Amino acid sequence: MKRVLAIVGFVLALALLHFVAVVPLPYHVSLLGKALAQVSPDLLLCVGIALLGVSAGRPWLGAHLASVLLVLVITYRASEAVIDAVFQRPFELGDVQQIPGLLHLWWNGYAEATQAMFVASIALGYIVVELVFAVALRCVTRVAGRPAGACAAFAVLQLAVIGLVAASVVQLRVARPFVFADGAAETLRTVRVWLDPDSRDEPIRERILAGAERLAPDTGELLRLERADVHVLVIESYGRVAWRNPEVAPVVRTAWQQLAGDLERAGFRALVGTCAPSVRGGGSRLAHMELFTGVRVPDERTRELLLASRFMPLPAHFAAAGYHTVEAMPAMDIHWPEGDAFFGFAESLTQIEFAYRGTTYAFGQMPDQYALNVLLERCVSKATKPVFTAFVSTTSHYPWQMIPPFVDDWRIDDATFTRPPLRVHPVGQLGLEDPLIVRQYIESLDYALRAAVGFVCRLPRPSLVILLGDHQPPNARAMPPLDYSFDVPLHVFSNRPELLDPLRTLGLADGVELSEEPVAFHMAELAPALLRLYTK
Amino acid sequence: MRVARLLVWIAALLPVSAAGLWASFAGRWPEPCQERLALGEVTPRWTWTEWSDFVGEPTHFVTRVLHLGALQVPGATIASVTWINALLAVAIAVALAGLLRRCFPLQGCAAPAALAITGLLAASPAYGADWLHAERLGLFLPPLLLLWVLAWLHGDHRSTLRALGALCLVALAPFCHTHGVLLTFALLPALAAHARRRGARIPAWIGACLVVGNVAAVFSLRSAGQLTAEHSAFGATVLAWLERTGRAWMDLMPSSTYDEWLLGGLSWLLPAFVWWTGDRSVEARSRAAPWWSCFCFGLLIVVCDGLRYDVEPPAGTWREAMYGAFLLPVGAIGVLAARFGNAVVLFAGGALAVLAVQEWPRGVEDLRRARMRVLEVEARMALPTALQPDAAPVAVPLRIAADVERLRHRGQVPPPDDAISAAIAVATAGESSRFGTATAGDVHHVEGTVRSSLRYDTVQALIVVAGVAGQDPRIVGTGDVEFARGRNAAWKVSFRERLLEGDRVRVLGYLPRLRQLTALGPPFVVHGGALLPEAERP
Repeated sequence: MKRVLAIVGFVLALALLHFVAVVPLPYHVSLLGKALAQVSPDLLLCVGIALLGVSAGRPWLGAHLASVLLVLVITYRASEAVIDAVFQRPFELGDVQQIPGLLHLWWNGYAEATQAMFVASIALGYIVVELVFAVALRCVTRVAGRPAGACAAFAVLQLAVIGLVAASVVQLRVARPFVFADGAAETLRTVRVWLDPDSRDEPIRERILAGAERLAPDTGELLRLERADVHVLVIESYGRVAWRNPEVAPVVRTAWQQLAGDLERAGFRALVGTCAPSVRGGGSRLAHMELFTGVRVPDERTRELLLASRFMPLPAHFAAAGYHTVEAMPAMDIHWPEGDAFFGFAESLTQIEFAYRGTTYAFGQMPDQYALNVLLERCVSKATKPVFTAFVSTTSHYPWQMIPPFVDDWRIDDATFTRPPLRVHPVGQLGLEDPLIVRQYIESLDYALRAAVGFVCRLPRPSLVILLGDHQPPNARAMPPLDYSFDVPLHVFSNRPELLDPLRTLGLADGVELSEEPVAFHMAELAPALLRLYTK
Repeated sequence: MRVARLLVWIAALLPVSAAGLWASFAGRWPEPCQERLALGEVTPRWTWTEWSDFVGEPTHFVTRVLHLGALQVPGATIASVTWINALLAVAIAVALAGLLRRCFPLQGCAAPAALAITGLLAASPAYGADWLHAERLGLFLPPLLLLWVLAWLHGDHRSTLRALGALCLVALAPFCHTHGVLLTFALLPALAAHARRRGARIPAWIGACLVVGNVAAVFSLRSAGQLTAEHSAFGATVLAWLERTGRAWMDLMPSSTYDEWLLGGLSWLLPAFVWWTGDRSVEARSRAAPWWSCFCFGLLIVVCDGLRYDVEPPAGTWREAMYGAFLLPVGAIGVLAARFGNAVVLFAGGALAVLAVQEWPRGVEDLRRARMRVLEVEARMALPTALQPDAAPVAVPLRIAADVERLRHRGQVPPPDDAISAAIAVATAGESSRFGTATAGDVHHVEGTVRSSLRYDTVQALIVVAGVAGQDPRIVGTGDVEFARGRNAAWKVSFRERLLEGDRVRVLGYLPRLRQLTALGPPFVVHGGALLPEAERP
């Protein structure tokens, strides 16, 4: 009976370990079969370490070491999946700094006590999982109690390794990626950068220097703007996929056809084109930095070095030209004076200034329309000198769960948004492959575009408006046909048509509908081009 | 007596010291980068900032760092650092002889004889290009590390420390060369015997060796990309594997492959026979353990390179690629001696010595051919583009063109031969039949032979000039020489234009080491559509 129990324990433990080692996060039933048919080199290593503990007479030490390693491997693999889904790039250890941001993204709206409970649950979960894995590893390696058994177990493990190598030689994909090796190599790379930061920073500094030279205007005056206001509206997750995907594009096209009528009635002419930021799927703040500095910002380090430099970004140039510069960031819940000083914003609107009291939305708390209305009434309508504003939208931010009601007449007060959202969708985080999420994306983007164009139509003075996406949405690679490009649409509106003419040199065409023809220029070229084209 | 003993030891050192002689023929340019990548070897770097850049190549950082470090010695050149290879070969021979002395009571002249034989094996000229390129030093490291570890494990004191040291070298070896991965498996018999002798837990040490070795192997090889195998007929594959295994024993009958098949087959079957026969006492098994390790290492090299290169190495020969496989016959003899008595050492060792001595003259031929490849690269790098052989791709031995200037600036490679164009313009090179000759031709081509030499310079590029009296000669064709077995190599140069009646033709050969031209054959004149020696012109 004891022997039978041991065999059952061995099989169950091995099945558990195999499952957690090979099945990728997030778990998808459709991927289960293929994953379970593969072998994880990480598991082989963990079992090897546990066996080593048994052979050396310290079975539990070996089991715990192996268990901790397995937990680390699974965590690393999950981190790779999350970073790939959200930022669509490989995971780096430096991304640990993104954890607070991601937690904010996921837990925004929960009470602080609840958030603390989540953290405690995660920590407790880790401990429990480690213990379960250790017990499972101990069950699996119990066969190695005697020297002959240990030698046989090592031989089996080695044969499995040789089998994996042989399978890869004949192009049989039976091995999962060796996450431990990836993690260790990434750790070594991080240590190397830590020891020799110049090896990474020097090329970035050169890029920043080149960007600073490109952004330095020949003269300090933006006279060709003729003191018209300039508004930059950054629409979150508005990527070129919105004009390409067969499900999204018809809706977006119809929406823009209606909006074009609104714009025309308000006296605005429009140009359309496309540009490409260095990020896709996420990393909005990198895109914002790139937009305003004219430097390619593909990673956090570039952003950090830029912030630490004596760079003069686009808003600072406008400030120097006599503009009142305003930044509106409804998703920001704190002030960021260092950022304002760097970019050259004289006024900054955060959640503190917006003082929103309505229904709390999943990301950014308030609907775009509310934030734009505050910007319009507080900063634009009452301005006594030309204004340069930068607005960063929130409603179209992933996960697009809550669609606010749109107020057609823009009569907005504190009570307007106390009513419930127009729609609340069920799909939450990590649901990028869920078909429902496309509908969510369409609706939230439609709302964000209506709000932005509504703002434009209500501008009281001569204005040049640049509306563009910050990056492709995170589901661009999940909605068939997959879109791997970095392109985002770029619209420019003005109620002074002559202000649009210089921008035609960037390849922008008349109208609002983006065809497949235009080739994207790099987003980093936009800021230098604006200074160059409007400087007399 | 003491002087006589000293003389005997000096004489015993002579074979291995020949490695220094082979290294003196080293190339002045690095081994072509493309060839190293094709071989699956690490490529060198020339600055410390690049030492950890591994792109499409294994992470053999020990090799790269050693090579790079040697180049930092003031006055070091690409050619001069090849002395490391020779030193490593000496260390291998000494370590192997030392292991023999520890395991078997070698009396009188037997100890120096063992050193001489190991020297013959480790410093054989048949390893060709291994002596000519310092980048190949990584090939010498795994056998050396193996022998050092075996020597450690043979000791009595501080056994745990010795075993831990062995594990450290097992972890390091994969970062020296791909053969280093094999240490993990080759060491298992010696490690198990060591643990058994000390009463330690055998599975723990074996397991530790496997875990450490496998992890190190993954880290060293994951940057190299994927291995792929070609499918071939089973019978042909078995014969190919037997032949490769037999090559580790040296060539008993050069004109046939039967000896390789026989020795290869015996090698693979040896464990099955020897495992159960002879003296199987604990002491004998313990004495045999290091030789099992040597045997396994040699056998695994054959397996490893068979998987890596399939039919033929992309550059060079099997012998060059399989340095260290000579531990297979040594290991086999050691195992047999431990099982069947020391007399086997004398008998089989003597046979091995005869084989090795017999192989050396043919090895010199291999070395000569390898040197021809080296000189060809030197000629290509010295000559201006206009004089490069027609229809031959320009071989830049370095990864990026900027490295050429960097190394030239440091004086570690020869500068371009700027004077050569002027010399061609006057075509005044002296004639010497020592380097070769031009024999015949017509208005379209000229042909002849070149004599290759290991010790002396050899013509590597051919330049044919033509003209009429009173005018500067013009270049009408260039070509190179393909060297095969035998010292004389035939060449043929096709002209870029049809020669005219009365044109005076000279064939010039470029000597890359002397950096000068030599005239091949007499001056020719085009007469009646054929090339006639000027002296025979009617």
